[in-house]
Amino acid sequence: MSEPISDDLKEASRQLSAIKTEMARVIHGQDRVLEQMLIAIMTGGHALLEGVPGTAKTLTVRVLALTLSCRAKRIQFTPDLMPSDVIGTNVFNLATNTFALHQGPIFTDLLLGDEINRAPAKTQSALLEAMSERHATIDGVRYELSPIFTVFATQNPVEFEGTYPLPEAQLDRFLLKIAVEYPDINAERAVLEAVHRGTPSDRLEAQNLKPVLDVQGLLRLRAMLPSVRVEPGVMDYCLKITRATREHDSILLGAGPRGSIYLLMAAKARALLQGRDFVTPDDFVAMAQPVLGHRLTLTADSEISGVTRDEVLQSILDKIEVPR
Amino acid sequence: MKRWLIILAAIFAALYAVPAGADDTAAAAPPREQLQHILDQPLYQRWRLRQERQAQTTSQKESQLMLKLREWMESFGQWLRDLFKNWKPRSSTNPSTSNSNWSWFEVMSIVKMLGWIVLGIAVIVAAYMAYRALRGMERGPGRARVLSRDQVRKALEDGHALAMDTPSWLAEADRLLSERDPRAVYRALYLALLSGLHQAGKINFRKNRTNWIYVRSYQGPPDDLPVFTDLTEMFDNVWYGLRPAESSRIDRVKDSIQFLLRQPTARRNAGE
Repeated sequence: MSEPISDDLKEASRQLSAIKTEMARVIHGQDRVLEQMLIAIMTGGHALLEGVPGTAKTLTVRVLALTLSCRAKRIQFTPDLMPSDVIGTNVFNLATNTFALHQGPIFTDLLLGDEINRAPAKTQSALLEAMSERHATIDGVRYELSPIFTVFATQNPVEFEGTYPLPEAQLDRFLLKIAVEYPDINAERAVLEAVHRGTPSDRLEAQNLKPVLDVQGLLRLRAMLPSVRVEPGVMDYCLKITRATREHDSILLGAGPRGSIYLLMAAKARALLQGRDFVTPDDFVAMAQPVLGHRLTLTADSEISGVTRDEVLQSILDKIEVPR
Repeated sequence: MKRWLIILAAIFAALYAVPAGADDTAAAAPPREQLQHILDQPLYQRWRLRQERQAQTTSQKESQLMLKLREWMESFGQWLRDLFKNWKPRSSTNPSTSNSNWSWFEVMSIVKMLGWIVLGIAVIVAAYMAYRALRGMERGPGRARVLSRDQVRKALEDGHALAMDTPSWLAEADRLLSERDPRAVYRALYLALLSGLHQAGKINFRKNRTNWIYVRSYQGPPDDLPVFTDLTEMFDNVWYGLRPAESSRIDRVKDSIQFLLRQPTARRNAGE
């Protein structure tokens, strides 16, 4: 039998709720997005936000950075962006006759990669090492990045003109793919009222956001994830989900072991966010779509017949028995 | 001079390597030709070949099936024709009968045909009943069935709430309580609740649905939802969170279950 939930876990859960509440003051009607972004930052994973323009993707990342009182930088990806624009470069200083490092925007805590699919593959891949290894190599010298370095990349799902789709290897580096949808009518009304009062959401200095946590606090939170319990039957449920993606008729390429690892981590973070120190099957069901969706490659026939990844994943979940 | 020669050679090479205005014509071509150009790509060619192969296989299968069906229909039609031949009043062959009065033989033919029809209907009904019985095993708790000890244990281990009805699950919970296995007691009680709610049409139990899907799709009175939520939370804590299962609370859990099962159903088609 387990002990009652520890004070540390209670405090962690309280802090996460406070971050979410603080962010929700500015970001209206995107509770699911906020929750998934917190899950990404809790697990140390990166997130790809996909949504049409004007759904507060960039603003949400800025608000998260303020709430966590950490550094944030932004890269606007364009077709002519070079890898050195992302990671930095050594510049010769004529005065001192030496090379000095000009750090790129990846030397930060939270990095917002706006419209990541607008940059060519070479530039996109410059992010790969940084995302997976948390260090950057410039002219053969390795530089460590921030311990909480997290990439929040955005892309527009509708526009394909002048875009370079992310390769599977890079997509796999993202813990979550967060679908940012339009807010409901009440949330949109709240946005309009804020604009009407002269305090629009994107004027953050007027929002009086309070930092809830700092970098050290976030690292302490992350250290608590291993304490979240996963019962063997529930762990098997996670495995069954990911393994079923490799055997489905409509899927050409299923989720690999990294998919299983990320699904487990995301489920644990969600449990903690909900004030639990144990994972339930519901956590896996809730995280299956954002964690596994972008890791699946559908067969050509399925793509042509209009089957979506969501439908395929749902059909997988509908077949797996819940441990009870 | 040498450089000019190289440039000229390069221009000639380019002119002869690429048909003049190839890209322009592709761009300026009418949409149908552009589409054809795309469909001539190897990727689409492969896909088209695969589609055609599949279509061929399917049509071959279909044609064989249709052939068999047609043969069967023809033989059935022949049998019907033979049968109707016997109905015709045979005044020429049998002078004792007239058009208005049928012979004994004709009456027997009709009786025989009716018999066949009744038999056919009986077979269809029997097949449907068997199908219903099989579906019923999935759909509803086995009220009248008495499960063996092993079957009950298996139902409990599988978490299959519909293997038994609520009273049977409650009896199993009592038995587990006497064995001093409170964690299993909580499990049996929660399965009793799910079984009862499914039977009452308040949830639609499926083995692949999580507990909170039932809570979200609960069809009982809204005021009862907090009770169902509490019971689900308690089960999650005991079963997935390995919290201590307190024997002292079991009676209260039973009371809550009975309370929920007594309430009317708000809507039908729970959980759909």
